[in-house]
Amino acid sequence: MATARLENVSKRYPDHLAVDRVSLDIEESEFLVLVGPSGCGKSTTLRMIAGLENATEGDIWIDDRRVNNASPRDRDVAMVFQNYALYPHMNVYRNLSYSLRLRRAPKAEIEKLVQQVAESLDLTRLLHRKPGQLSGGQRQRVALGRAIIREPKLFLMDEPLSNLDAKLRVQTRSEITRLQRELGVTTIYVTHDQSEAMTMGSRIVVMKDGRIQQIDTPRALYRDPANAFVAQFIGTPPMNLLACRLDDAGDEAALSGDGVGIKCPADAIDLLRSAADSLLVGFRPEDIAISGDGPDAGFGGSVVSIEELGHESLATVAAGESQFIARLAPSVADRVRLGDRIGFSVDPAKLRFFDKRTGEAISIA
Amino acid sequence: MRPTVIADKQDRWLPAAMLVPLLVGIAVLVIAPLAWGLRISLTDSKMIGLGFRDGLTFKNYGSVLTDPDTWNAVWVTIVFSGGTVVGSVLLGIAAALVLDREFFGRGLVRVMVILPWAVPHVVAALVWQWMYNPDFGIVNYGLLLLPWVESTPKWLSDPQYALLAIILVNVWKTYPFAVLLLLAGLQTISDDLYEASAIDGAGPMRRFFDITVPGLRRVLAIVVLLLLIWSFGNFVFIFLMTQGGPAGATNALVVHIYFEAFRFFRAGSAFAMGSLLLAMSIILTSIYIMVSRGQEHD
Amino acid sequence: MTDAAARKGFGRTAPLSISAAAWRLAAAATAVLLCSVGVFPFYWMFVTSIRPSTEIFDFPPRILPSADSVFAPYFSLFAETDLAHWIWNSTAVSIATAFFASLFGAMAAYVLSRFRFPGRESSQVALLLTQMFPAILLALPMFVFLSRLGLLNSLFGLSLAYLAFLIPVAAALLKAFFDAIPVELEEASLIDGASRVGTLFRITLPLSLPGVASTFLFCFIISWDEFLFARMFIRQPDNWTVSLGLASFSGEFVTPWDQVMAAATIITLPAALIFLMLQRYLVRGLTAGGVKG
Repeated sequence: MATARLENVSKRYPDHLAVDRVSLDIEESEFLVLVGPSGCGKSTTLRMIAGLENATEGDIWIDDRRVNNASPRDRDVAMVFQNYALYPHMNVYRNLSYSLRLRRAPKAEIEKLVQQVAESLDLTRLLHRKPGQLSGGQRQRVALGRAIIREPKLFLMDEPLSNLDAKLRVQTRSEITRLQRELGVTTIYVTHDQSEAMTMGSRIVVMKDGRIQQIDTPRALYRDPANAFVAQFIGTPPMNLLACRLDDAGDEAALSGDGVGIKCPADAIDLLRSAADSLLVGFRPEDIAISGDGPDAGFGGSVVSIEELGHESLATVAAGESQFIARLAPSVADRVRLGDRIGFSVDPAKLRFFDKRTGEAISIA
Repeated sequence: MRPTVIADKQDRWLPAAMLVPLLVGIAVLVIAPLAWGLRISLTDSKMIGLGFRDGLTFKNYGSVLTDPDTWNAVWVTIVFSGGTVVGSVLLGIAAALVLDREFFGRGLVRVMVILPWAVPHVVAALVWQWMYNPDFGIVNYGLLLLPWVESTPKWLSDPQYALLAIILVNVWKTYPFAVLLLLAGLQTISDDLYEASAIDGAGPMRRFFDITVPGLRRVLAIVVLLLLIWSFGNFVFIFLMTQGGPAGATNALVVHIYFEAFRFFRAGSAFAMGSLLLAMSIILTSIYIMVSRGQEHD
Repeated sequence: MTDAAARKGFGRTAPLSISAAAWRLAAAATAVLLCSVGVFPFYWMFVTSIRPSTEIFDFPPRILPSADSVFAPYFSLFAETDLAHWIWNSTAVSIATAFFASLFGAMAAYVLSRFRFPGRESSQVALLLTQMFPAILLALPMFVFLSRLGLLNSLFGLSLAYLAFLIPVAAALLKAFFDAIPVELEEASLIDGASRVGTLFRITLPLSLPGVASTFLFCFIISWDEFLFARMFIRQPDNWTVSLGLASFSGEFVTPWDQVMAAATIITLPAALIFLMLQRYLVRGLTAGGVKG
């Protein structure tokens, strides 16, 4: 159990900058998830913490010890790889005990720990198999076991679920969170899958192009994305973002654009003026309600497609350059036909605003 | 040579240390001798292994380049290498096409086809020498069985046939290599292409020239270049079977250089010819590297 | 014959037509012809070796083994010639060469496979280049070097000369093997607490053992087969290798063909066995990094 800290850490390759001045505080026992599209630098960041890559700039601390120049073996971390990296020439028992044997732990203790870990991961019957004889899920559990057997300071996990099929992935998610909670080991988890990040992380770091976009709890991330990228990266379907401008007429200011025509919330006017003619207004698909074509309909357009999911329907609505998705209950969706012109209203408190040029959120606190 | 990724602390010194034997080996056993040879070629050194008076001279190159024997050796080398390549590639393609089909006993046929490749060079030279024996050899016996053959050549001692005889041996020894490479190449050609072409009504010959040959182009280039490079340097067959004779008919560059140095003790000109050979093989090798590296980026 | 295979090559697409049958016949004939061309010299070598010496120069020659086949040459060889001694010399040189070529080659190959450093690309090209020079180019100046060092006529000197081209070959071969081992296995081991050297011995080497063994055998047969260097550097019959010993038979006034062929058979056996064992791998060996699989 430990803390870790990254201060302005960068990783520069000859041809590009993979990680750009990343600073992070990882608290004791927390489950921190690094998420972002491929090539965003999340894996490189993790590998720098593990010691498999050298940071070009900045400092990495584990428990108040600067580890920039420490070998992986001196950092006391454990890592689960995407392809599991089980040693193919060793059976499960020897895979699990490898790190203990390297540390010359007494035989009896190794035996005890292996049995204990094998039991908690349901591997007892497989101890004498080689990795080649195991299923994907079993290999994954061995990889987990190899990490937890040592009680390291940090767990590092690099997309550990992406080689599993969808059903097993959901199962293993909860298995990993359970283990983490039981053991209380500080964990840093890398994934490209935002739903995995949302369900597992106690805090989430969203990265893009080597930079941190936002660090927050899943709920805060969902509710108040720091910029347009996060708004569209988190949530399926993502937050709707529609271009609009502020028609400033004193107190009666309005926001208008393709498919947008709402009264500007009074407390937002001053803030929105800074980017008056290039704004994005955002709302979640579920925060929308059909309001007929009445005057209070803030958003409108014609339905271009309906995706039926059974428990709900996703209607894609287009108006001019804009397009947005509305999440509808089945009873509501029944009345909607392709091509219908429909108006929607959104609770003003649920509206989010972004500067279209920078993508940054304009927060109305 | 500092690695750009240092994971373990041993990575600071270990990679460099592990490269030392290779680097020292190449420097001492390859680069130094080559440089030394180049240096000798520019001196008046007479006896190989003896010293030389200092000073540079291009005399050796002048005399070597004007000596008709040199040009004969170059010509023999080209005919020998070219003949080997043509023979090996033609036989190689035929064998590869046969082996690409599935049939009963394919594994055994494959082993038998590859067998010549496995025999040591000296053994091949001696066995063929025996088979080529003008009076008691099985080759001539076989020829006499043919109805239209009336007299048989004295293979290795007839200037007209000696080079052909050795080329045949070299083809016999090297074509299995062509077979294996071409076979690997054939297996990368998708069956769909053949099916599509068959549906379009192409006959077997058309399919061969429209699909098989283009699909093998790169592998063929590699086979041709490697066989050329190896044939350029082949010493054993000529040295053991004809000693470059009769009348220089098989006096390829490698053998010529050897005799220049060890029979006539003209070190300077031997090294000068060596430099010519070096230039030729560098050109071939560079083409080979270009072709084979190109393949990796496919 | 599977459908896909049938459609390939000269292939048949529909029910067997006359022309397709002709193609198949041609293919079968080619196969038979190639097999006999490949095998006959071996057969002839063996048959000659066991033929009574009175019948060797019979003409027309008898294709089948003589009824009075004798294995005497196989015994007289060892009694009358130094064959045993040559075999010993060749074995010693080949094992020593193969061992050091594999060892040094493996060290270099690992670095080339795992580390990025300036000059890495060009050193790989250099590796390829050094394997492609005609041997005589190295042999001449090396002759001078070895004579200066007093290593002419020495098996140690010969082995040293072989290492000149076998270390790069071994390095290129083994690099392909190391490249095939996922780097994550080594990273996992480093994190689990092993040093780089520990990882090399506990993870990388055990996993590349087949590659190391093949490389060793490959270098072994190349040394076993080599003639030019041996011919130039070794002049004393005491230190002859099998190639030199065998070659010394020919060119005598009357070549004892039965003995020569017996010796040839003995020398061929280990080389041919190893060759056939390695045949798939040899393509890669000889093109060393040039062509994939």
